[in-house]
Amino acid sequence: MNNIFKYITVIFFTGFIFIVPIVTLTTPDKNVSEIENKILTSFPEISFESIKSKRFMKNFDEYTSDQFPLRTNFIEVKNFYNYLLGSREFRNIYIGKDNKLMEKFVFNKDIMDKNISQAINLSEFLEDNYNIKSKLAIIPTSIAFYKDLLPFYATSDNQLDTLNYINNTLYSSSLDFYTPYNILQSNKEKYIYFNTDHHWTQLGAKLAYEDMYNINISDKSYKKITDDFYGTYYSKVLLPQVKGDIIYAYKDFNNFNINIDLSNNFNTLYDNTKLKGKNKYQYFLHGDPAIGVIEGNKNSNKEILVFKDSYAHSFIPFLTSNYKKIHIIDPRYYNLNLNDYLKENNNISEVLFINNIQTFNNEYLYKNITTLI
Amino acid sequence: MVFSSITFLFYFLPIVLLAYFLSLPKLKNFTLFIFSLIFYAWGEPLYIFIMIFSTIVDYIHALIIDKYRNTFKARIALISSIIINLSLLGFFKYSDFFISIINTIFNTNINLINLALPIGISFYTFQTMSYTIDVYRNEAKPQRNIISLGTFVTLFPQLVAGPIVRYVDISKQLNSRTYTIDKFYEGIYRFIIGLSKKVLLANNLGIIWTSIKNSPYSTLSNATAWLGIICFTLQIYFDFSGYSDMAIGLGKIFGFDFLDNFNFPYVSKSITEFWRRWHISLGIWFRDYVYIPLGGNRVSKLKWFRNIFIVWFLTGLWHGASFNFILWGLYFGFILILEKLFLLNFLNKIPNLFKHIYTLLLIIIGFVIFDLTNLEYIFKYLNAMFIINNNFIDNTFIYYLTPNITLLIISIIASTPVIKHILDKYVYIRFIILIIGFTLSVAFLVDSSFNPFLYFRF
Repeated sequence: MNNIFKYITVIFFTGFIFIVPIVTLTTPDKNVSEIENKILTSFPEISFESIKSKRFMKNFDEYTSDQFPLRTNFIEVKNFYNYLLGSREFRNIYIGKDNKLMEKFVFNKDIMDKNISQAINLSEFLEDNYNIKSKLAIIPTSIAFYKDLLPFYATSDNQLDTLNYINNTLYSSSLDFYTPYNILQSNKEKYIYFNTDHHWTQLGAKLAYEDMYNINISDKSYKKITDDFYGTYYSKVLLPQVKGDIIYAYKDFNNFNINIDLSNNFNTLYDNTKLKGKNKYQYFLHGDPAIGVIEGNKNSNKEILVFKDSYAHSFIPFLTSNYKKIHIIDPRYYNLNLNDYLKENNNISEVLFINNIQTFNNEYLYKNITTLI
Repeated sequence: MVFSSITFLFYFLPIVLLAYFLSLPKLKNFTLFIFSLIFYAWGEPLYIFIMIFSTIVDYIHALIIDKYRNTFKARIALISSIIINLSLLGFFKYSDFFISIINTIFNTNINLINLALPIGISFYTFQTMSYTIDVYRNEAKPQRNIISLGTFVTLFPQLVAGPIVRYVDISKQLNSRTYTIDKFYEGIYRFIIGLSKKVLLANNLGIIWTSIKNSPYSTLSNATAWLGIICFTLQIYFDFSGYSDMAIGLGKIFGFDFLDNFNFPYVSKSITEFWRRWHISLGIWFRDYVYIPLGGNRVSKLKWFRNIFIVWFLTGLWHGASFNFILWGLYFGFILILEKLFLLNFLNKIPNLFKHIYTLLLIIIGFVIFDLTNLEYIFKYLNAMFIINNNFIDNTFIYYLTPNITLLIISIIASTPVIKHILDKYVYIRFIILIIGFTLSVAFLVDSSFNPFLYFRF
């Protein structure tokens, strides 16, 4: 009997180490792991130069783990084992009660102060030169509202404190401040945030819009678009027991013309083709436009310029009720001369800076925006 | 290349196994030699020439020693071999340390050389020195086949991090080895245990320690500081002994029997005992090639202390070109002298529990000196551990402890012989552990964002 265990162990080990390379080398290389949000390394080129510089070895090491058979399943095994041992934090994502996923928030004063002061500078420029009023809207992320579901020892900075900090810093500046914190807080029982993704749902965006513009929007056109949405939080956690999200959208706000990145024109704001991919949130506003223009309400004569991150993608469709044109710019991905842009579009009378609190806290947002005359 | 990598486990190992067992008996050493060079070249292709140079130098010196045995020439050859080996080690490992000392003392501004340390150089130079010394002492015959000697020097299982194999212990195996399925199985058993220790325990403990180590010490609570250094104490044991297990296991697969390098050091009842159980091959090396030649303890008390002092100064220095390692060595040298003078007598009179507390406490404090390379940090960290000004316990401690408590309990149990006894006794439990351990380790390696290897820099 003992010998049988020995032989099985020997066969298991040798079988394992021989089969994996054969499978890896004989199956075609994958370029991306969508579920992990990761580009995978392919078999590296061999040359005297690449070996001498050790580039070959480095890439080969990456190749062997990136193209490992059943890679995602092995990672799930790893994460599930860690979960069993008691781990509840995976790459800054907490997994709380009922498999609730939330991203840890760590207040970063340096970046925050820089973003605030640059936003103020831009707003002063707008006010002084174009008499344009601007507003900064900061949206909390889900961890602000569901702290009760976190593991008891979890640490995360209080987002309300951070929002108050921003508000106080803006005081007596030309930049107005808005946060949907209160309205979201009083609707926290509703499906206002995705569980597996860092974004809010369009219901959350609608509540903020209603609050901000004092308008009521009927929920009649709020329809289910797809389920099995596994977002960015899931990519970091990769635990088999976490269920996918459902995406709903306000279909009434779909049929508008939009020009994206100065080249592509669409006659809808939502994009069904994005539902086939992994990152289904790209359904809103056709992915991640760096610059775009939406033709909104023809009866209005106002135009707005929105500096946004992807959180605004589900929010912006509602603005079509209020503005004739909505100019959108992601300041991280588009180098803009604000002065030139405003000269070319002289009907712009409002500017909105809208970000989720994590982006505002983690990235230098306005370094690509110049105001040179 | 490191053992705990996909490249090693699933590409290098199957190919070398296939090539080795298909080779004719006469060519097996040659196969091992070639693959060992490839293994080494994976980390730094150019540095294999240092190893080949070292092999040729010692090959020639040993033949000269043998030819002119018991003459002045043999003695010259021995000294020449030792000087060449130590120069290699000194140049690559210690020159920048030496230059920075000169710069500090004489206020000069000599540029550092900034050479990458050839991996394993501390290990294989000690092995090559043991070869010429063993031949000089007539404890081993000189190896006339240069490939066999090359195999001894470059042997990939213990090339990177030991155990340090003395030539006398392995000379016979270099030319005749036996292979059985049982030995092959024993090798796999030992290898998987080592891999699991390294990947499942050490790496995960290392994440906690790295995180605590990089936070400001002035605000650390006492409990967090203790948790951090306890994690490191466990990490370095599983890391290093895991690597030794993998080396010994691989050795068995290729028919070699290496001596054990660790014997559950944390169950020791004194520091004297600890050093008989920790990094055994290094202890034996210093004993045989430094301590005893200096006269050991069969000399006057003053000379005896001098000998201990020299050995522990060198042991510390061997671990790294930095003052904290020297301090760490002298720290243990000092404790060992105290133990020999009176502490052991005293320890014998107190209950075992206190002996364990005494020993572990000194080991743990030792690792603060070992892992924090800057004297100021060492002082501040010890402060955080012992000074009551800091909070005793805080949320950070709970934050680190709660999700990791299972890992810590498993690690503490695994650092005692309990699990080994169970595995040795119950074959089916061993079977399950090996299958799960290997699968989980592979899962961790596939997604390896954190896989440092502590003894790489030595």
